Amino acid sequence: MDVIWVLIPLSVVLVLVAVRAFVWAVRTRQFDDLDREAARILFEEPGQDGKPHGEQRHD
Amino acid sequence: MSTLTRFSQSSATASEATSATCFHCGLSVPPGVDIEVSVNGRDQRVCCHGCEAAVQFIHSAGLDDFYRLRQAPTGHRPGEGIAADPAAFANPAVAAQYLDRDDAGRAHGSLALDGVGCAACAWVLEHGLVGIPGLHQVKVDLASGRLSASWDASDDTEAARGLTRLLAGINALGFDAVPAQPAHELALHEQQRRRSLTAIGIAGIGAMQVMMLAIADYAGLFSGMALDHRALLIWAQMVLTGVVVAFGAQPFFRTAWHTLRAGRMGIDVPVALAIGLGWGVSALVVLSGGISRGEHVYFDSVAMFTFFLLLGRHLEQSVRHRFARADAELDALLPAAVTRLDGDGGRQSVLPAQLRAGDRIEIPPGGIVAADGRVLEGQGEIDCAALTGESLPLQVAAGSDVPAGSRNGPARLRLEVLRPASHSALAAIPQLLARARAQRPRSLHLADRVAGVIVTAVLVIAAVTAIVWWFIDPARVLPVTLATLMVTCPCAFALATPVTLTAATLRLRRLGILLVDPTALERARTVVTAFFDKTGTLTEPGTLRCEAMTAGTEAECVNMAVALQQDVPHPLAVVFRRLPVSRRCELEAHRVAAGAGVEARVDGRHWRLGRPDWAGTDHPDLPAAGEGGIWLTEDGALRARFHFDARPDGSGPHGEQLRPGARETIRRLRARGLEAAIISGDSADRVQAVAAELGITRWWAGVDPASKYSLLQDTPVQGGALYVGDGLNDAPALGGAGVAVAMASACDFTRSAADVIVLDDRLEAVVDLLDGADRTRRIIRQNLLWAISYNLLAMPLAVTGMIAPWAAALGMSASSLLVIANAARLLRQNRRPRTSTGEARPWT
Repeated sequence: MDVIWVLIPLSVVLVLVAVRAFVWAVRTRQFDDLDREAARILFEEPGQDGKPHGEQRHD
Repeated sequence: MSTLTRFSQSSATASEATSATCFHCGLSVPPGVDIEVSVNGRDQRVCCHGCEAAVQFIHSAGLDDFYRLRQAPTGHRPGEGIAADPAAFANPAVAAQYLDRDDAGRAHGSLALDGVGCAACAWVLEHGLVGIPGLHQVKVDLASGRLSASWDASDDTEAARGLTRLLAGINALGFDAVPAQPAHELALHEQQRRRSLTAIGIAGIGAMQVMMLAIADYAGLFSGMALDHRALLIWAQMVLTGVVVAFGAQPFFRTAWHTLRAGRMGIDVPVALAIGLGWGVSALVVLSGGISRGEHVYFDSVAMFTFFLLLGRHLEQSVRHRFARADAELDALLPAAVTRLDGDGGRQSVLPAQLRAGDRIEIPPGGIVAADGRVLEGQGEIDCAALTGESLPLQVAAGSDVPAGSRNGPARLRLEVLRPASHSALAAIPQLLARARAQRPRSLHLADRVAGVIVTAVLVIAAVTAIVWWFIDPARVLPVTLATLMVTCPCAFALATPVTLTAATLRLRRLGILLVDPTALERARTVVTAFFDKTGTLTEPGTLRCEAMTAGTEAECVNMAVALQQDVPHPLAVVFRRLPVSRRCELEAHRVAAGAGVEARVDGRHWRLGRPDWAGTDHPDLPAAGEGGIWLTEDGALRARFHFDARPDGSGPHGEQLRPGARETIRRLRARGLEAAIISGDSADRVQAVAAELGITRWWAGVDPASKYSLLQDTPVQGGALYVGDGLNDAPALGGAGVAVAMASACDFTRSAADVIVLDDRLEAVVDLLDGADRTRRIIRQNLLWAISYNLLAMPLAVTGMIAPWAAALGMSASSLLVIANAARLLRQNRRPRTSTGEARPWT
């Protein structure tokens, strides 16, 4: 069971890393708009000609 | 073409199923309107030219995905709502009020949007505006309904031009926007939100990990565990809980410190003490080697407690930020800009604040009057419903006084400004509201009232225990005192109220009731009288009945009347537009005659709809003015009369009818032993009619906003007034009422004064709210009773040193869990229950 002498401190460090990552995410506005980012993948970005990129591909 | 093909296929089913709704906005296509717009060879019906233009523009910009991906139609007709005339902001001085210019030659502006509901709307705006020259960045924030943008502008004139182009671009996409003041409070809210989110994240991640370690530790209590392993687990808990307390629990320490410094006792004081002492005492145990003596630590309780409390606070705060809009100021009640007529015949668009007494201004049809004024030219009607509660529009002509904040009817009016906008009756309303709020009895939670007593008691008991044990056995002073503090730590007690209020807020939300201030549930206890505003709260615009001269032509006449009332900015026209129609009519020379009616040519025939003496000038038996309803004539010959439904008691027809559920609401209020009363700004006969219909004996009519508030003060019980209203004139009364309820149809300003907002304008929600408050209070009481009795029961055992550490831990966790489970009973009915009649079932 001596392995817990490594694992428990490691888990504490990992939690601190997770907390730091979360704080970074909030600070960089990752949580500001939860509705839109979920839907973003559905929208095709319009190209230079004003038509969606997807058009040529599907023809 | 596949994008476009897919687009038309997916929309085909929708448009066939609901052929009478607009392809763009989803509102019903008004009869008499038959505009079709061709999208990929398919004709789609739209309700107006605004929507038609929007569909075409969106299609030509290649943004058809909007229609495929939006969650719901916008429900917003372009040009209805907060629409601002882009031209009004062409004046650099006006535009500069709303814009910031930076050194890099860019202007930054924030616009409040109308009609934006889902991610697709935001997407179409951000991409549809890209083509505007000089525009750099457009960002839509759905939560606040704001659009922020920046564009090239080296001086104010260019900045104003950019703003005008931006507004026109937004209009072209079928949305409306007005420039909003730089949103300082919004930025503040965003900062608060981010801060509380950070705290929740830290507490949540930390608490879960601490809990895991704690469970391992508890398992060890029963199965045996090496002492050094146990110490390791506890040390890890101490570090993690330290992080939670130091970073997550900050808000509690800060508020507790502020309340204490102000010489008061708030709920955050015991919360901060529980968290601080819980961690501090446990840490003392660890550092003094208490682990080897089998003493217990409470890191898990501290961490979980912090997390749950933060979660509840965050929910409450986000509701408040979203619905008590910070920009609900006087500015929001007035138009952003107003046309001033200069002496030399010039026209200039200026801010309402720039108006001086004696200025001449022009109010367009349907516009909001910016300052108290006297009519110079023009004859028409103004609608003061929101301002004074009068349900019928007022006739105005040269010489009439017009109050700021009223809505102009169909005619163009020229006014002379009587006093600056800041001195109008409208401007007094926010001041009245502030005063009413300040005088409102400070609401104290039961928990708040008891908290101070309990915390003091805990500290005194712990001190006495320490002193007594000092004489009995000095070696056991520390462990016994710690155990006492632990057992009596009011964790479950502090949790009891916030957890229950959070559950109640969620439950009420499902019933369509938005709780902005959860303490209103506590104040609901003292309510003895329910005051209702009349216009827009107890009543809604009435239903028109058509009486055709020739039998069988009713449908025909209704079609014609509704077509004539299209696009007419008049309260009556709205009522007409709700009539069912079977066929469209093509109008020519459509014209509004102010104060009289509307007319148009159809197939060479001259149709009029309006006052009998105007519409039927050739008719032999003209009724006296004000009688005979509204006439529809064809070349002067009477074709039909339109009447409002007469009241059941025969007191004559009115342009309003009771809201569905009004009778039931009053009946249920009476059953609860409450008295119902009406306070209205409308005339006595109309108020009396409504009161009689509902069997209400206490009513006041013609009451101004200030008196509405002072009438509430006469309620025998302090804070015993519940007020339900929707108008601007209700704001001071709402601010002073014990429980303030606003209807969803109220403007932002009025809603900001309310504790509770009824989201679907269902009047019975008032009773549901009171029932919900009863149940919430019952559960809070049970929770507090349980928490206190647990503490009282365990305390003697702890004081006498008889309590085992694991028993204390188990008891404490079980106590908190029980409190949470009890609160969760409020959520048990998962969906909004409906009876067969479609009415929501009350609380059981």
